Amino acid sequence: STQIQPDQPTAVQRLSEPSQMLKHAVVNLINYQDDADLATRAIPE
Amino acid sequence: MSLSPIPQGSLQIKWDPKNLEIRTKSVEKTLEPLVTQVTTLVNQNGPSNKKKGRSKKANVLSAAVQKATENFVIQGEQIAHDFPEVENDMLAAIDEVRKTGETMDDASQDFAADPCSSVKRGAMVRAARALLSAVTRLLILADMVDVHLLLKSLHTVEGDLDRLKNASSQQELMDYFRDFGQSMAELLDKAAKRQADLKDPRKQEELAAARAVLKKNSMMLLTASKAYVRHPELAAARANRDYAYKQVCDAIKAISDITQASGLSDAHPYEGPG
Repeated sequence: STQIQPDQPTAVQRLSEPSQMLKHAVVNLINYQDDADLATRAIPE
Repeated sequence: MSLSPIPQGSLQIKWDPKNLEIRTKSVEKTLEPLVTQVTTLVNQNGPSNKKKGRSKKANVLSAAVQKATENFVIQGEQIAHDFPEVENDMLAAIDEVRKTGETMDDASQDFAADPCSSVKRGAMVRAARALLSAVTRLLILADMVDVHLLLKSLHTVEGDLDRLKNASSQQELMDYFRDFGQSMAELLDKAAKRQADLKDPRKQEELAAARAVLKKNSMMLLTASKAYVRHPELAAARANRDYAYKQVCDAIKAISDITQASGLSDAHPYEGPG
């Protein structure tokens, strides 16, 4: 009465990779901010 | 069956998707790095230890966030279309991701144009938080879909169990038990994955116990049912069959309750110092 579908990814697993990509994109923005801080300190008065 | 009936194909979840409670390790693991990063951003007072001088152009980074949000939304929409029962809820959550993503995009572009502005930096942080909340809600909703699929398996088992109970010949019994065995294997597989993923150790143990009861009593149910079908006039044969049947029903109900439960479980009365 049922069909077994082994190794079918769960809904959460399907969203996992896009979530990770989004995380990395946000992290890159944060790193850019660090560089901006560095630039602020490096600018001569 | 003594279980509360949940019509197959509909989604009846007892918990509120607006409540951002994360019940599984999968969702937590997916979100944790993002939560940490945003929290770090908010709490950061001094310069970080991150490696410097590797930044790309700000508009490239901003576009990457936009692209990543789009990918997330596309995948979310595919899941929504795969499960019509939750399509509206999923699409509403996706819409929230899209909106907060647009705000994040605007804020990050403003910040990129003026990276020394603390006001623009603050605006971007707030936008990142809102985006994170929306992503969290969608992941939790996806988790609810997974729970729903487990419950569908569970109701298939219930149906097979009912047929098994009403079998009137050895041949019927064996045919129905084959179906029951297949649906049971699928349920046990999903329940095992859920058990491994649950954060609450008590719920993990309860699910493990229910799975053990199911495994143990399934074969007992077959044996007892065979004896009962052969000798329906014997009260003892019926009692044996009813006992195994009740054990299986109780275990199924336990799995249903655990997978739908929210919040932290209470301590068992036997826990703690004796």
